[in-house]
Amino acid sequence: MGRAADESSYVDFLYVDANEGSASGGHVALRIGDRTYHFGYHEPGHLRLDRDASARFEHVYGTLENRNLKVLRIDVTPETRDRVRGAFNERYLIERSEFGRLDDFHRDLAFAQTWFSDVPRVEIRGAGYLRVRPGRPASAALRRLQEAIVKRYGPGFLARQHETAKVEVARLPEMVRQPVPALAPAGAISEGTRGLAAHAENAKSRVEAFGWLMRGDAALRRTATAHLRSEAFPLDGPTREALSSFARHLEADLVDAVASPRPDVGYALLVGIARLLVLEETLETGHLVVLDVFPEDAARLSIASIESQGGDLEVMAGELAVELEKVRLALLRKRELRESDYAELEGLACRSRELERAGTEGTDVRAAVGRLLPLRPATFRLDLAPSEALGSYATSVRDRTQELEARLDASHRYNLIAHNCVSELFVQLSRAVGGEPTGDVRASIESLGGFIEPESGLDFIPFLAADEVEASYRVARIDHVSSHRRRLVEVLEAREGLPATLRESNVLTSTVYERNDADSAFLFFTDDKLGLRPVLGAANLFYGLAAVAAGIPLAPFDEGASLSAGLRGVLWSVPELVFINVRKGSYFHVPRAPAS
Amino acid sequence: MRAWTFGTILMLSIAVGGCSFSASSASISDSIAQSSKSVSDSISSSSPDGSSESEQAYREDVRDYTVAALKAGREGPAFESGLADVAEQHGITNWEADAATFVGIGEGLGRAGASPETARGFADEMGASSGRVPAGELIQKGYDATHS
Repeated sequence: MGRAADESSYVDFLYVDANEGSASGGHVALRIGDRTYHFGYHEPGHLRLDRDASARFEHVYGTLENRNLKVLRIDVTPETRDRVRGAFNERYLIERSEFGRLDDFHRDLAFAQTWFSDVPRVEIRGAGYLRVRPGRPASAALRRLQEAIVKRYGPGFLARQHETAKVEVARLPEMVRQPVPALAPAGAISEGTRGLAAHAENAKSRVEAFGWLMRGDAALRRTATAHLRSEAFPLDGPTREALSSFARHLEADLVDAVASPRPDVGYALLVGIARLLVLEETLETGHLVVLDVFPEDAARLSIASIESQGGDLEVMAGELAVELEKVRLALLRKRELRESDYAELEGLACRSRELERAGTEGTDVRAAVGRLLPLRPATFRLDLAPSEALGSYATSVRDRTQELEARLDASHRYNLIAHNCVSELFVQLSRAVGGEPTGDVRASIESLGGFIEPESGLDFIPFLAADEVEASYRVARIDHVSSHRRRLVEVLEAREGLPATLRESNVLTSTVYERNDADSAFLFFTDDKLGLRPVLGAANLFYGLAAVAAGIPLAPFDEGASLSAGLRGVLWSVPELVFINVRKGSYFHVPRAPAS
Repeated sequence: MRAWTFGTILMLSIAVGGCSFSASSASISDSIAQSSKSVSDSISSSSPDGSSESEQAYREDVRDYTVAALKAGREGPAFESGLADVAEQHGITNWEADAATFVGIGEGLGRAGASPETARGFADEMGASSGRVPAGELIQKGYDATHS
């Protein structure tokens, strides 16, 4: 079976078992160390490469979605592993740049529209954290920054930078007279020029940032910060010193940044100024204050909705409090905080404060997946005269937009059979080891131990693809990871025997599963009851039908939720009648690790 | 049994859509779980050179971005514009102040097979405007580590 697999000499093909919800037919992914790559469905009907931290992928699919995972460990050389990871990563970055370019075009069109209506407006990221300080002395931190800038570059430097940025804004009409650059070739990183709206934002954000630095009258918007209790983040001596040290480095970096020629430095300056102010307030008051980094369109969940799905606010808040303390201790061990370390603290502090506030004030809870960024925007009007060239510019941008949309549609259009999460994973794997999407047989055999022709036969079905991987590649080991519920039940059964089996067989008496509104209406778990599956499936079918009957009169009052759960209950009971299980139940929240 | 399984899953997949939806929709639990037990790990040093998981991940993205950008002939402002996007994904607004940026660029140059002259050109250009962080040296260091 080949050499012993260490961390650098294998890649894992993951088969994710079926469950109701998305990926009802199962899913596949490639885990390479701490990153897992998989293709997912994105609106409007595109198949795109997603990248997740491996721990998150396993938590979402194996725990929250309660699916079994089959891990096929493919024995490869460290060079192959590195090449595959690099190729998947490169594709991920290229796809992001291509779709980012499309977003830029849409922003350009929206900006041009405001210009047509004689009030050109632009949204400046990071500007929403600041306001004019009313009638009070300037912040000491900002004064120090001003003095350091003057000392380095001489008096008048900021005024000159401010004027230069204003000239950039005034020259925007020239940009619309230039041709819109052609698209980068398909599959290449996008062309890098960000378009009119980004140009306008960059120029205006520099005007604003240099303006704040010149005047020194910036203050924080109260609604754009999060304040933590001192018990939640104790500011003892070493913690204060770590934050003071970060503030000093931030100040030095801002002194460097004001002279930077990079066009988007305005955003970095605005965020840097705002962070200097929150750090100053933190050190003055003894309470951690951070920028509120939740996006403006963050989902909001009421406490009632969280609790109805089995969530416990107190438990979740406790989890984050433990992590916050661990982060504080981790930061103390660092020689120097990087901006990204501070950004992690910022995001975690905001999530923690959000739950704490909901617990004490009863407010809705904001939620956002992924890294939280300090983007809080403010909208500014630009003083631009109407431009005759704007019409033809907008037409060109519209043409480019359509061209790019058509191209992305052709290359990323999702198709259940011909272009799905399985077929594209094999295409990308072939490309990674052999450089050819159609598959370099020899390279694949050398690198992976075998060859699977992408987009052929029935391999578009996840579990058949896993079988094909097992049969074709150099699979050194296969691990079966039970779903979260099954893992818990197995522990109980080992301890208690038959009573646990009976008690945990249904949703009414189970102690390890709490009804989740996202699940269909059902009574019995059938994923671990093969022999009894048709009988239990019949019971589930009748239960689903009963839920439908009850859901019809309730529809006006619960927005059809009960009816929908009943209908889905009927649908997912049908395969159980013929020994096939899809539905396994799911969880609203499970801690990643027990809070200690 | 497998034929039944295949038939049913195919039917159900067709009925309700097969592939996993991108997890961009906010689940509060995922939002919390992502923070829980992961932030402190990512910040802590985890490699012999003292860099953290988050720093290594950022450097890797910069490296792979550099490879892709060189293939597409991106240099100067076009290169830096894409670099800013990569940095933002890692919570970095001021990429010029992060040493990992320049090591990653150097590694990308090496991996892309750039000539020593090209690498020196990048080092000279980016080093000229750098402040606290010795950009030029770091690019050269990353390049030397990967170029063979």
